[in-house]
Amino acid sequence: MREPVDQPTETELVALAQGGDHAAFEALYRAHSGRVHALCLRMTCNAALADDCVQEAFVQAWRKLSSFQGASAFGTWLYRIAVNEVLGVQRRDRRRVTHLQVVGEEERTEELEYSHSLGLEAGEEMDVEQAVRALPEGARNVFVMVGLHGYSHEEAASALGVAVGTCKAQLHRARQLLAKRLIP
Amino acid sequence: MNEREMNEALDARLAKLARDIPPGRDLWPQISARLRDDDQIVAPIGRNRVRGVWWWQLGAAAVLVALSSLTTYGLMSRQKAASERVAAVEFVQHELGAASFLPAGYVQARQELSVAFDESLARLSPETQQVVETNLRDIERSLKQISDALARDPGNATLQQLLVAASTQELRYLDEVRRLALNVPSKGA
Repeated sequence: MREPVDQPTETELVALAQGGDHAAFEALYRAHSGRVHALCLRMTCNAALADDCVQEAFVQAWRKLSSFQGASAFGTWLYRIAVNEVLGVQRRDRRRVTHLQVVGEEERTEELEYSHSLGLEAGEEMDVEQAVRALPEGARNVFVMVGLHGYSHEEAASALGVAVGTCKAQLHRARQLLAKRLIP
Repeated sequence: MNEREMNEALDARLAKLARDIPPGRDLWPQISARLRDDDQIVAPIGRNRVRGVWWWQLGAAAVLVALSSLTTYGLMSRQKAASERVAAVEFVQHELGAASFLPAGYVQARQELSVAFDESLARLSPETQQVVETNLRDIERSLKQISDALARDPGNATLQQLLVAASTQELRYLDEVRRLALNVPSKGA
């Protein structure tokens, strides 16, 4: 009977990746890509942009890996990089929207791709996802980070570059809008 | 319904949402290819390298040079079907015998990028397309000069590094055009 092989811990994988081990970094990608993708998808509301942010976040993480000292969990550090990528995309997108009007057909296509990325058919969960998607950007960012992905207000405020009070107010606003739409 | 009941009802619905949603496609091949590009630049100053790694880098660079020619060809004949492009890339890969040099997923990622690049380019205005094509020609001219010099002096480590750097620059440029074009609505929209 074969002895069970111990899987390396996340700390060991990080240490191996810091030494240039691609296989260890791939294992970290496999472990965290779903959560990073969920965060990016809900913040960008666009499947293609979310994929791009995930890819960019992992490339940036690889480049900055030597600076990771383990003061926080690897996931926390990684998600912060992903959030920065999303915020960069949103800033670029904001500039674009001032010049262009989204055409109805294109918006419907994006909506379909978004639903497909979530892996959901029409139903209760899809209704909630669409309600989250409909939130104003500022409220949605805070809600996704704090309300869904467990960030503290301090962490979210720091990542988003807003005051903690603003963060709390945005979360309250998001919850009110969601309740209005979802709770009869 | 009072506020507390409403909050509880909302929390119950939110609790059902997935916190983990895998990407629709595996993004690792593209990420892996970009990490290897980084390694090639970092190698002389940082990470530990194994002896003989330049053979791999040279092989990868040679494939990139060949692929860059294909990209130029693609720019000049955009009507060419993507499937034909992939077949051509596979032919070059086979002719060079480069498969053994390259990490799993690298060539595939490069092929995808090449196809995605053409689609992205079509979204840009004719003026921007012209700028992109001019920039690419400049990179390709550099690649050709370096590879010609390498043909005369194959053991020159500086030229080898320059070739890898220029190839990496081209790859990044293609990817950047693709990324920027995502923010431009398609012409049909």
